[in-house]
Amino acid sequence: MSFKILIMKTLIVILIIISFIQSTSLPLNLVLIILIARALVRPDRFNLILAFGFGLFISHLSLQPLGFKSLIYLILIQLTQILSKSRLSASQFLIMPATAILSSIDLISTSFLNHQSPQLLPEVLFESLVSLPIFFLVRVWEERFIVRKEIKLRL
Amino acid sequence: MSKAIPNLRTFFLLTLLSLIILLFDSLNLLAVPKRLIFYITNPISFGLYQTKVNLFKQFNFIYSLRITAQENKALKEQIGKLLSENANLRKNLAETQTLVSQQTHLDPLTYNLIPTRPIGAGRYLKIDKGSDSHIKLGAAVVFNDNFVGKIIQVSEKASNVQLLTDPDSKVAAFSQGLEGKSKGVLIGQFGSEILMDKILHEEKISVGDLVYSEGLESFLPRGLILGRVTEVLERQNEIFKQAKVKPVFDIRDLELVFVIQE
Repeated sequence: MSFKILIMKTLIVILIIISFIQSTSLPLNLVLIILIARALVRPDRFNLILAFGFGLFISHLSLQPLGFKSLIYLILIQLTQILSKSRLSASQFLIMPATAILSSIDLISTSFLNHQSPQLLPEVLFESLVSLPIFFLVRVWEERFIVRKEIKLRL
Repeated sequence: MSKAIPNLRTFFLLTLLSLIILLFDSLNLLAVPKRLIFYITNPISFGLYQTKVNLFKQFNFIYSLRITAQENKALKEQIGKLLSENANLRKNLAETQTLVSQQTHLDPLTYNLIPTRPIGAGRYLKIDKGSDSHIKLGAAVVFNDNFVGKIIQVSEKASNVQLLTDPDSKVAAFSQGLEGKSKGVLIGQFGSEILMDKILHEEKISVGDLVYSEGLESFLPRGLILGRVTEVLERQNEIFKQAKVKPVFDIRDLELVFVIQE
């Protein structure tokens, strides 16, 4: 259990670092991509908590009204979790169109909030390309490093 | 419903919380905690931004270095071409100046002069024109009023000029100075000096006198400068006296010489 908490903490630290990088140096929504990838790999309550928390944090770092990004992130992650229950989730490449659509929604809503015309390309294109390796990394992370409960067979 | 949409309760709870925070923030109620958090996040953001700027500068420097090296190479090539062009222009200018100067000394109506470039100097002076340019054996080579030498070998595209300093060279000459005039024969010596021989004792010659061609040879006009007397050798027990003569110019300084055509 303590190992699981450590892994969770590590993920949070990584997300904090990526949030800083995203808001200062790299104009890609990497946090959202990681959250989408995790929601596809392992849909659970923790994704919503992360979406809420990092939505607040990124709103703060990008000087946007607090709560706005967390609201958007929550909706997008919830949509992803619904998507993960569908048959489409069998394809590993689902992450790419999913990222493109969800990231576009995020960009459009942010532009709408700031009264700007939305500029989707090339950012959305890069994000959907980057999403695939991130998806595999998150899957390896979730499936190999996190200890799950042993499966007990009923005899 | 809750099976189709997972964690619905948590979702609604967090959405509600987000809306409350958004409302509070729009009413500016979260200014103090935001300011406190900025105290922590701003230095980190600044540090990361500076790191990005420095990294970008480094990469830009490496990239610009490559371009600069290419530009440097191109500029060096350009400078080389310009220097070469400049050298050619200077050479052409010097040749033109020599040509103009030559016309003031020897009348082109009297003498048919063929301009040639010296292309080598050993025992003989090699010039860049030969029988193709109607240069003939025995023709005199001059520069301004000065006699340079005599053509002794002619090929199609080049010729050799026997200089006054050549030991085989013999030219009838006279010296003219303030004290008087003397006649003799100018004989080439080994080295850069020429000896004027067969000067009678009663004839006046002194250091600094100019020596001119007598014009007894068929190829050579009278009155061309052959050199300047540097030393007079006079011995009472000999029939003739001698004088050392030095050419008035250095053959290596000449850009252009002229062959007198018959």
